[in-house]
Amino acid sequence: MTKLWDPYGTGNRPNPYPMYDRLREVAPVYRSQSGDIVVTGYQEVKTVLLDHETYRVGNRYEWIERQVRYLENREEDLTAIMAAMNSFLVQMNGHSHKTTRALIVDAWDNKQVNHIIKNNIDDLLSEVDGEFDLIQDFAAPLPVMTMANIMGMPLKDYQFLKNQTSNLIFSLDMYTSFKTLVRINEAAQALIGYFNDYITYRIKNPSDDLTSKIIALANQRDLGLTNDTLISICIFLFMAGEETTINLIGTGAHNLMLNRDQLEKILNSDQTFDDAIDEALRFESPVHLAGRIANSDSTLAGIEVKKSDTLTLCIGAANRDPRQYPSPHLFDIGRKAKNHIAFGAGLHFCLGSWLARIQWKIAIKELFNRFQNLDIQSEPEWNPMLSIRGLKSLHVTTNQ
Amino acid sequence: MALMSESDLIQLVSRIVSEETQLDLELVSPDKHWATFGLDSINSIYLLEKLENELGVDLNPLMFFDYPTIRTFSAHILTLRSS
Ligand code: HEM
Repeated sequence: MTKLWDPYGTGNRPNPYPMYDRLREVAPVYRSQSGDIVVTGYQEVKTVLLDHETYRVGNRYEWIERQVRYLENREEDLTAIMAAMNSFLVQMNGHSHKTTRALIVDAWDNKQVNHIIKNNIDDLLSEVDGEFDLIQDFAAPLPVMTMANIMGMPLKDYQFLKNQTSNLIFSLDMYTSFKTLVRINEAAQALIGYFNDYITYRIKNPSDDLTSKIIALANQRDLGLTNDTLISICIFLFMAGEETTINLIGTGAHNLMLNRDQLEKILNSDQTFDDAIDEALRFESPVHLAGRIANSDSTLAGIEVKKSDTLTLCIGAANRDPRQYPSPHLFDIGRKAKNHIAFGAGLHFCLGSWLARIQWKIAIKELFNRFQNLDIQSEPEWNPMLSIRGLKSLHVTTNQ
Repeated sequence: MALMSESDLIQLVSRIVSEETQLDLELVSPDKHWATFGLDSINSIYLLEKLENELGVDLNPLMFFDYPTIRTFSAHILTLRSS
């Protein structure tokens, strides 16, 4: 018997799209074996994202909170995860979401990042030649370095930060096992320690970095944020800025190498570049699954949703819905996929989309202008995470 | 760990379920849904951890829902261990 919702099934990691197609055809809104409601239709996902009254965010935080409380009775202490996640913007609702989001958006007044990104790319690309791993040697370190620059941290810390956030990001995944929770907890402890020291330092030594500006504006607005809250806000901001962009650079470069005519086109014309970014986002949406909780009973595409039901919104499936995009499995920058929902929609719409776009553009340009013959050497390897989709390794060669 | 028969495995899983839920072993029927024993998406995580450690297999939390009774779950573990 084949299961309709089978994200770990054979072949579904590298290519989940046939599963999404089957599911969407039978039921774009589907109550899965775990009771969770899986949404794969474009319109249906968008409806949920935009209906803030019926659906709230925070499904991961609420689950972790219950899990951590349960494990306390088993003498297992995983409370650092809760402390780290406590003010993750994407898990916050209502007034606290509104004021925290405004704090970040207003503090982030310096959008001159081109030179930062360019410098980081130069550093990374000067180290490679011949054969290299486009993910580990380029796509993964770049956004981490950029976020460290923007938030004012010393660049030497980026490897530590990368190692920790690539574990902490699993706090937003589905079906987390106990062993994964333990790893998340260790990363949470390490990052809380790091950001505690760093924020304390910035309170005494403010500069023109984003962290200092957030601290200053929070004071000016009298938000009464504790250090613990600031730590969590900054951890999420840092992680959201890098763990996602890595994947857009990785899968984007991969798809362009598979479609060389389109690669040539964008390198020759700046106008087509923006279309290419949107198609890359639509085709392999890095934030692949998002979650919501129902605040009240309702129906969605004819399916009954009960108060407190959890919903899994398959953004990656919605962006390949044939009702929205004809021939959805074709990578085609000519389709001008403007209305994709890879950055979400509504109140939680990604606040770093501009940065992701700039970074992708500069990264792809520099990469292929420097190595004109860059090509795929072997089948890429995919990451194990469901909620964030991307490549773990992509071996390439600069030789003809 | 040595190869086990399906009935041995069912006994072992039943014992761990009984320990975790504090239900008498006789009440833990292999053909009833996990929910009958009060197991859910929260407390199943620790149960799966114990089973992983006893059996030396990787158990994804979604399996708990894919195989919702001790009997079907045990049968699935046997296929994992043989592959
Ligand atoms: C390709 C890269 C990126 C993708 C695909 C992406 C995608 C998303 C999506 C889908 C959401 C909404 C999630 C939901 O509604 O549940 C989101 C939220 C968010 N993103 Fe991004 N993002 C990217 C890059 C960035 C960058 C560079 C930053 C910069 C710091 C960032 C910061 C955030 C923040 C802070 C939120 C939470 C907003 C809120 O809840 O109000 N993201 N992102």
